[in-house]
Amino acid sequence: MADHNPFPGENNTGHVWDDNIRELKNPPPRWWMQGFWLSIIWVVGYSILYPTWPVGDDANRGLLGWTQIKEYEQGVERIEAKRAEFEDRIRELSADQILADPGLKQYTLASAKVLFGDNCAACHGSGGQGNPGYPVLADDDWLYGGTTAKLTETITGGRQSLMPAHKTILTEPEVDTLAHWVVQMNETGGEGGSEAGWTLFKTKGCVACHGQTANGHVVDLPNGDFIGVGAANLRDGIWRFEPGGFESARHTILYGVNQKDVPESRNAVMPAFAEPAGKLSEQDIKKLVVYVHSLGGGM
Amino acid sequence: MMTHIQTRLQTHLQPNAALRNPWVLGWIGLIVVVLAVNLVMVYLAFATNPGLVNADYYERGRNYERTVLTRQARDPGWLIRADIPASLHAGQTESIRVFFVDKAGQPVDPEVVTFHAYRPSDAARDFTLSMNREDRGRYVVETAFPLIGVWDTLIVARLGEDEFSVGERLTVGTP
Repeated sequence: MADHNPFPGENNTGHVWDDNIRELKNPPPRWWMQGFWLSIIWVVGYSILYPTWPVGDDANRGLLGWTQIKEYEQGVERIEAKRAEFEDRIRELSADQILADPGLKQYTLASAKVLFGDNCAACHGSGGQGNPGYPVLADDDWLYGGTTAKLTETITGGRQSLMPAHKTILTEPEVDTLAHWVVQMNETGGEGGSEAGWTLFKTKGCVACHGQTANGHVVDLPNGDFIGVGAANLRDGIWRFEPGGFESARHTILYGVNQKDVPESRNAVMPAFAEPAGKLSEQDIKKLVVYVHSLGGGM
Repeated sequence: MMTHIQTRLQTHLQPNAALRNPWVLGWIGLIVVVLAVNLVMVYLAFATNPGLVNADYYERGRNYERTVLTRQARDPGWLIRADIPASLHAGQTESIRVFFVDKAGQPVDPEVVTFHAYRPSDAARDFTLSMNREDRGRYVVETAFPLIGVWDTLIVARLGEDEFSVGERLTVGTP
C-alpha cells in the first residue's frame, strides 16, 4: 500500500496499491440505496404487524395477532369442518349403506386405513393378507361370516374359538387317519376324503362344529349366510394354522385350540376392540367394518 | 477408348461396391453380433446387480456345498414370513414384522432377530436394527427408509448356532 496519495482530489480513501489501484469513496447507486431504505422500512412495518423480536421466552405480539400455531389450528379446524359432514353421515348410516355410497365409502376407507394399521395389521398383516397363525382378511373365507353384521360383532366383542384336545380321546392311529383325511379334503376340494376319515369325523364329534360337509358351517341360512362357531372350513385348501399339511392338522387335533390346560394348544384369540374393554368407538368400528368388508367381505 | 486399368478403377469406385463383398458383410455382421452381445451383457449386469459384495466371497463359494448340506440337515422346517407394507415412502416410519412358526404351525421364538437394510447403490447407507418381540413368534421393528429407490432387506434370526433368514427387495417411493 502506498504511503502517499498520488491522486489527490480524486475522492479516494488514500489506500493505493501497486501505484494505481485505489479505493474510491463513490456513493452506492441510487437504486441500491432506495432498496436499502425500503427494506429497513419493511422490517419495521413487519415487526409492528407480526411477532418478530424475542421477548423472554416469547416474542412481541404483532398488531395482526398472527401466530404460526394459530394458523395451524385454523387449518385443522377447516379440515375438521370438512370431515365433520362425512363423519356425521357415517354416524347416521349403516355399514351397508356406506358401502353403497361410493364417495362416502372412499372417505371411510381412507380414514379406516390408519385405524387398520394401528389395530389390525400387527396380526392380520399390513394388507390384510394374514400371517402364520392369524387369518387372512383379504379373501372370501370367513370363520364367523363376512357380512357387515358379523364383522361388527367380531370387531366389537372379539372372538375365541374352542376346539377340545383329542390326545386322550382318540387313539394315535385315529388321529393320524383324521389328519390324513383333513389333508385329502383340503387338497381335493372336499371330494377326496377317505371313508375311514369321514367315519371318524362323523362319529367323534367333529361334525358338531365343522358342519355336516366339513365346510365350517353349522347351519346354512336361506339368504346365503351361515351360522358358525369359528371352526375352519376343511375343504377349501385354506389352512387356519400355516404351514398346513399333516403336521399342522395332527397338532390341532391332538392339542385343540385355546385349551388352557393344554400347553401345546393353539392360541387363537382375537381381543374385543369396543370401548370400554377395547379402545375403539362405535364410529371407528363401523369404519373398520367397511374397510375389512371391502378387502374380501361377503356372505 | 477406355483402357483396361480405367475399367477396373471404375468398377472399384462404384458406390457401395464393397458392401456387396461377402467378406465385408461377414465382418460387419460379426462386429454387430459382438456389440449386441456386449450390450445385452451390460444391460444384464446393471439389471441384476444387487450391489452387495461379500468380503469373503471366495471362501463362501468354496464352502457353498458344505453350507447348504449342513443347513438342510439342521433345517427345523420353520415357516418364516416377513410382513413389509407394500407402499413405502422415504422418511415415513412403518412397522416391519416377521412371524416364525414351526412345521406344525406353532409360533416359535429365536434368540435374536435382526433386520438388515442394504442400499445396493451405496453401502454407506446400509443400516441394521434389532427386532423386538411383540408376541410369541412375532417380532417388529419401526423404521423409515431414508432414501427413495431400491433397498434389499434381510431379516435374520439366530437360534444357537443356526441362522435363518428371509430376504426381500423393496422399492421406496417419494415422501
